Amino acid sequence: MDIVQLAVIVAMLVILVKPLGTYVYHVFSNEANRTDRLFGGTERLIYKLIGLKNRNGMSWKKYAISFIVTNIVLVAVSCLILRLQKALPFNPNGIDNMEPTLTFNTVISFITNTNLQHYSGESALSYLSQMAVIMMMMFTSAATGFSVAIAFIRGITSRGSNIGNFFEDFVKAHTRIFLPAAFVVTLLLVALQVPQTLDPTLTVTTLEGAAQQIAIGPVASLESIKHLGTNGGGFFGVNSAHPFENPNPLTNVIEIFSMWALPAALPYTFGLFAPSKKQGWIVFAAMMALFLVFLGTVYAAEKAGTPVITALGIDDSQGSMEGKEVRFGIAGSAIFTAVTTAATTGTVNNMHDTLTPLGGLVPLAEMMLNVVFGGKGVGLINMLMYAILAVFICGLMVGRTPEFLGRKIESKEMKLIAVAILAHPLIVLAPTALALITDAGKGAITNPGFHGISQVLYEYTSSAANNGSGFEGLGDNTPFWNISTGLVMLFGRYISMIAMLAVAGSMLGKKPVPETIGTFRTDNVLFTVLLIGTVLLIGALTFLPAIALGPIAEHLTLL
Amino acid sequence: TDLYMIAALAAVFVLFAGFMRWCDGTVEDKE
Repeated sequence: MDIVQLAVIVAMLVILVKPLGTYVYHVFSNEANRTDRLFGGTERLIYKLIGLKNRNGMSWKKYAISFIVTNIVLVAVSCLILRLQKALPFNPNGIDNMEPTLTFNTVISFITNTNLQHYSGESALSYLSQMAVIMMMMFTSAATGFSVAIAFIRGITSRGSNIGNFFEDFVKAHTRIFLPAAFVVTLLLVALQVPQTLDPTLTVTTLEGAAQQIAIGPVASLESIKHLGTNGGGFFGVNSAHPFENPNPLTNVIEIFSMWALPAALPYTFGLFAPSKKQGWIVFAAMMALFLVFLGTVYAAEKAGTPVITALGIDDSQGSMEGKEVRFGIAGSAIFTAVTTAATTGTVNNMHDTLTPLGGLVPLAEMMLNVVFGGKGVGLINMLMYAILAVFICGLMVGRTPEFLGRKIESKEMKLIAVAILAHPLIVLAPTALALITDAGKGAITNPGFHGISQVLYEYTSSAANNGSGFEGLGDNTPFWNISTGLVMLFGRYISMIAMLAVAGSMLGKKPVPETIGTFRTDNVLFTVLLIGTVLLIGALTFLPAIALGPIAEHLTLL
Repeated sequence: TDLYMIAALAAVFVLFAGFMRWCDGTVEDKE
């Protein structure tokens, strides 16, 4: 039954790819279409309000500066609200101002689409902060990632003479994708009994006569964009394991599709821009093949249970249920874990820290590769980066000038791609090493031994991949962790975005190379295999030693 | 601490500006 459940979810996703990918293409193709009638008026009003008179295309530099400066303004506003929330309205529970280093971590976390949370929402944020900082950045960070991905696609497919206008893309991502989708999903969640209220925390009397506080709030509206924007930061500390965030198996599936459908549809959008639908499906196939291997691994590992528990004579026929919700079971938890780290959302419906060692290896590996569907837009950018690298390596092997989508790949593109690819392991492994040799870092580890290494490695991998989930046994709300993970999140987000926009700008100016019989084809199954091989090779070369010290060593101690 | 926080954020974004300059130099590289 579990396998049928998983197969139905994957099949439904595949069915959604084409219509969603086509819709996204029409939103950003800047060709007149039916959606203009529906959203055009609202957009023109927004352009007027923000003073956007000129919607001409931008160079890659102007596009990059536009999105970074926009992000800086949002960071400044958010810092002010978090540091002054005690005196601001919509604070019925009288929550105090947020501490400075935690504010630093939180604003970076949400502007980078990471949503790493070193706090619990119900006790650290006023309703105003939940809505005007957390939800606002959930929309804007997702729209930023989406816009940059579309600009990158325009650059490498060379449709037009520029990569588009950031502000126009940014507004359209909100008005035509995230706001309407969030509205629909919010209503669905409210219908399925997720709370949506501005009332203060409830005080109830339990059956034993004790008084108990039950936190509520505007949960459904946050929950929808939390997943749609691959954000992942929960209203409550325990995230989607909380019955108010994710009450039943149906909301579980809705949340899975909310975070998975758009990243999965983007390769099809890329195919329409290319224009070669086959090219889009090839990229999708590479992502899906990797995903199915990871899903199978985490499901099998959790279903098999823990040998130590079995040796104690305890019935673990249900699998390893530690840290999981009974209403989701192994299958509902395994696919949520696989999707949340594939789409780099970071929302959790089970505690990743209590996954079996091999089960915990799956989210870790997905974030290390950072290309298995990936977050809003960024996953596709990363996969196309590997596609260009694969073409380059194959070109070297057969002695031909590498080409991708009819454009020559030269040393300058490879320099930029090399920086973007190597930055990821550097900002994961260097701070992990630093944390493991300093008292400030080691002090947070609650589970010494191999699992302690996994806790630290997971925290920085999650930060660098802009995922945001954690092995939450780590006591990470300290200045050392707030500042170090904050910096890793910033580098993880902006280095690859800037470098890839530069690649897009470089590709844009190139003359197309006519296809010949000797041209290396990138739209067949062979290229899918080469693409997967390149991703795994780079991933293994950079991360395998660290993984061997963490989850693999821990697994061997259980045998 | 607020000042340190602002200074750290500003320093990182200045680094990004430098990185963007390097990227631009690489893209414009005629070699």
